[in-house]
Amino acid sequence: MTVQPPAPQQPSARQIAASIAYGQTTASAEVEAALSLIAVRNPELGAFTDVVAMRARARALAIDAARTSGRRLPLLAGVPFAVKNLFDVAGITTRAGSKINRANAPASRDATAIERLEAAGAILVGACNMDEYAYGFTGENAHDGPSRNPADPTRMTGGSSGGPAAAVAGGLVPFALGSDTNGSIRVPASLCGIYGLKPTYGRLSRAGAFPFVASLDTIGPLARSVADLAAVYDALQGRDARDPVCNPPDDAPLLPLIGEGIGDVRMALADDYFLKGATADARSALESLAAGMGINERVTLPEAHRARAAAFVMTAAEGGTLHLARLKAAAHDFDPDTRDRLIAGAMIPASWVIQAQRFRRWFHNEVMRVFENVDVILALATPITAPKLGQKTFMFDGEEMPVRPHLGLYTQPITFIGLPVVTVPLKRASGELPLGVQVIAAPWNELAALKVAHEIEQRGLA
Amino acid sequence: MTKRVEAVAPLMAALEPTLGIAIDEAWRPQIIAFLAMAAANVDLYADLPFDDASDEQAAVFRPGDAQ
Repeated sequence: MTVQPPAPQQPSARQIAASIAYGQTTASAEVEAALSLIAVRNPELGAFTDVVAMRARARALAIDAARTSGRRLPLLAGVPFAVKNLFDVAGITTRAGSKINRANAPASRDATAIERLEAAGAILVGACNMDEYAYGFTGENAHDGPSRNPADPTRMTGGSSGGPAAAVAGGLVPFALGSDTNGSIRVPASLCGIYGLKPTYGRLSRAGAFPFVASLDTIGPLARSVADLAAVYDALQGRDARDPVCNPPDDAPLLPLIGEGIGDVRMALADDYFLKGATADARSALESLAAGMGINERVTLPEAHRARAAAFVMTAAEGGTLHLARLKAAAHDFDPDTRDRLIAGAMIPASWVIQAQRFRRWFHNEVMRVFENVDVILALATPITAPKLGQKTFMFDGEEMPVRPHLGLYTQPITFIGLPVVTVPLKRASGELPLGVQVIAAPWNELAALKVAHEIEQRGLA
Repeated sequence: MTKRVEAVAPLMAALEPTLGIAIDEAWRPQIIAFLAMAAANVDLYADLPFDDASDEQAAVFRPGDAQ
């Protein structure tokens, strides 16, 4: 199987919006192009589970009418996009990758994130495949089949936002929304060779997104450029009474700022835990990036292995408790891999979880001390490239590890303390599978992460 | 990990009736294995010392807040 680069021929979201604004194309034409691509490529990629063609066409006609009448179009006017199928879409049932939720009534309104993107002119074309209830890093789904990596469809996309990543990397849409609890945006972005933004915990509204672990859940975009990430992020910003956690200290637009250069931004590579177990290929790719960016500093996030362990336990316990009623009523209807982990999670003693919370505060404070000396920390997003579909284990530091819970070894300690991260695809030789790096910033400093990611992109290192 | 499985099996036996989930015998090995994996993770942080004040700081977590 020849490795394919991620949809380089496809225009970005901002290019599409500009072309519509200048009358070089129409929103209707862009929506029809996206729907055609989905029809042709989705059987191979397994990216979409729902397509909302009528809704998209109606929205496109409204955008085109607005342009014809001379009204100023918003930033993302006419740009098709998709969402992970855990976001509420009015009129369709929110399946969250499950069989069980398909018995629920259709959503009565859109998730806040969809409302805000459509207010910015973007056009929803469908909902995407995911690991059941977001509990997995593979992109494999027992009910809907796997999402497939556009770089090599015999391989995993990574998960749990696997369908959105396949849709973006495969060129079906310029951007998509995912969610990230332990790495579910960053892992698929890394394995599919695209960009992903996991914001600070509490930055973007999760209202209308089916939960997994309320104390860790975030939502964010996947795209093929940093500018598109920033444009989507700007459209999503703002407090939301529907999500009490969403209470950011500011909401200034970042797109105008990401190209200002990195000036005196202090950058460092994460060592120790974040290099342990990585393949020689992954280390080499990271070193090349560091050389290209002139990064010589190394920092250690203390006790990151314990942070990952504590995140693992909190996730299992909160997730198991969230799904307890469904486990009682319909345990046989879960994906067996998800079910067994959720049942185990529901049995976890409170003392294990509370000690994990205590440790989270300690780890957060230690990492804040690291940020006194650096602004941005770079660390691999995944220790390996995309495994084969169906692959159950991989070798990590000489030990055979299960794929499903462990692809996020490098992402989990970061989400544990809610830091913002932009995942950037590392420059790869022809024929090499994609691999990403996390650009990690201090809480609420998405701008620093986006600026550095943009600089990596502009220097041709992505 | 074998010892871990042996250690968590009684925990599962004690809690299973309270959960009210009809657990199929075929699922049991995977559930115990995952619980054992969780217990192995707890080993990494269980004995770290925290004072009483840590609890209120831990319960209300917001990134960036100074504590």
